[in-house]
Amino acid sequence: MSINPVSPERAIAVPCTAEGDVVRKRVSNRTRAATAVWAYVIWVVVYRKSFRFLFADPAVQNWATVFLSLCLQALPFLVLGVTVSALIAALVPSDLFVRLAPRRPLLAVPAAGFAGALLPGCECSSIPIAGRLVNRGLAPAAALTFLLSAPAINPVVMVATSVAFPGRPEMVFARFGASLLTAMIVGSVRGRFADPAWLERRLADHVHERRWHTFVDTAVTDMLQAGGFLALGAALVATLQTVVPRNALDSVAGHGMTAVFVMAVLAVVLSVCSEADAFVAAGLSQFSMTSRLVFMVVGPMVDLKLIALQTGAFGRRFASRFAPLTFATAVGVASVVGIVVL
Amino acid sequence: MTRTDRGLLCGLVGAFALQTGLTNGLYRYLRPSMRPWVVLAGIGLATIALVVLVPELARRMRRRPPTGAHEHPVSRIGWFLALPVCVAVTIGPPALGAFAAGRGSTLRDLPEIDFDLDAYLTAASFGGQVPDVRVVDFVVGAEDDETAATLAVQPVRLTGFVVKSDHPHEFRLVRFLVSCCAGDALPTAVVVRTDAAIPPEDTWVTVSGTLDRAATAADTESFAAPVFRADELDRIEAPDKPYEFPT
Repeated sequence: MSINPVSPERAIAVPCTAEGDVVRKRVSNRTRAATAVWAYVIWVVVYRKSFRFLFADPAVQNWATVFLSLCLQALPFLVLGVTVSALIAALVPSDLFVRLAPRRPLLAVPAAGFAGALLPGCECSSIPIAGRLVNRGLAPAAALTFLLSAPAINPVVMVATSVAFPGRPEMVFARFGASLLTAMIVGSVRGRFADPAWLERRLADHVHERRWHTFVDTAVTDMLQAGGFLALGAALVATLQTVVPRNALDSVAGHGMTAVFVMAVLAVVLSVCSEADAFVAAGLSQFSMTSRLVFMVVGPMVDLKLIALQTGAFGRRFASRFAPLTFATAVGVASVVGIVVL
Repeated sequence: MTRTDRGLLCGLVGAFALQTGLTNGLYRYLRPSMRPWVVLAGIGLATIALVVLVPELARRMRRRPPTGAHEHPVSRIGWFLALPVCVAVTIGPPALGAFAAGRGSTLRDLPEIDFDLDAYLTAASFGGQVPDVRVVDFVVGAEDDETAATLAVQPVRLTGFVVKSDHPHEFRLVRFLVSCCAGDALPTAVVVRTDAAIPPEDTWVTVSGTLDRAATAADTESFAAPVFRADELDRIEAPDKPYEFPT
């Protein structure tokens, strides 16, 4: 174990002024907190066997299994997203998107929507990438459209949907159309009426003289930011899944708007990865086809894990407006598409 | 959060991903096809941790102050990244079991199974052996008239864990079907009727026997779980792959 719990950060060189004293005090408080966290981690690793009796309860173990599986499942996609985001920061000149993107939002938004189909991943990779694109000067309307469409309409998700609903190709088309439409509507609305402060520049640009340094710094910072929120979101989802049994839904199943509403809320609460949500939707056979379409359109755009990640990438003010807007639009668009197509 | 803290956190998560990705522990959480991606993520995180930590260590050995250019503010939320590692180490949870099975929805359509059960059974039972059948295949097969007729005469062997039932001489043999991760697990169950003593909940067993079509049709309480008449019941160790995966 190579972890040194005593951080030598106290030896930091600070100028000897009154201001320096304040800085030094703050630094030493932070160092103490960090040391406490590391000491706890080591303690837990060394004495893990003696804690097991505390966690023998099946509910706690169920929580831990669900929590860890959500974290592990999202991790590769998060690493992919963070890597692409860091590559953009290191390699793409900061004015490229401003020059490349179509001037008119009328063209930029659909272009960004279809570009989302190229990213073969789930929602966890698209958030760091979208944040970086805005940071690089892409119009917010286009970046937000990409953020919403990428996890919903990429080829991996489309194939999963067709496998989960065999013999019902209209489900795949309905999902593609409703997701793309929702992404473009929300992107344009949010992009047009965004107050200038909506992006709190959480993702600071770490420009160094050497590109390699820019890459490493951006990757580590983004990873910690997004990963921290991911762990928080996964903990919340695992708690809900453990506390509220899924068979509580067996009796509330219904048709019409009740089913649509229940499935929309379920998509937010369950936070199933967009690559797997088609299988879950296919299994919820007591619900109408339209409400299952709503589940698959809402899920990749708004869920607890995503709200946590969006808060991390764009700030709390942004997330608190973006999530309800997206939720309402997704439910509306998917219901209409479902009634017409399915 | 110092540069060292950041490097250590990335390294810790990377080590956890590698440890899970390179052992059978993975099957408790994810479908097998995720393995290369988890390992790649682990390698990526471990590499970036080394890239950050090695120069930091060298700098500290030489007692040089941190170069200001590399200190960027990171919100404290990053510390939550230590949570999965702490949970994995302290709780080290087993695969989902009877607790989750009792809470999963029972009104589910199972995915369509893409293989010819009859042909499989005929081929695998060559020489009088009892073929192993996945629980999900058995449940889906029992719903179809033609395959149900085969399963009623051809003995098969099922593997799963025990969940108690209200009736004597009966228990539910449950296995989870996992599409992506344990967060989306669907329980699939068979009602097993046997004269043997019933093992405690969460015990892994194999049962050999046939589908009881009459009892399945009569049983309205067990949410369409097929009834299985077991001639033989053996306790086994928990298998490496605790869940069944579609295709």
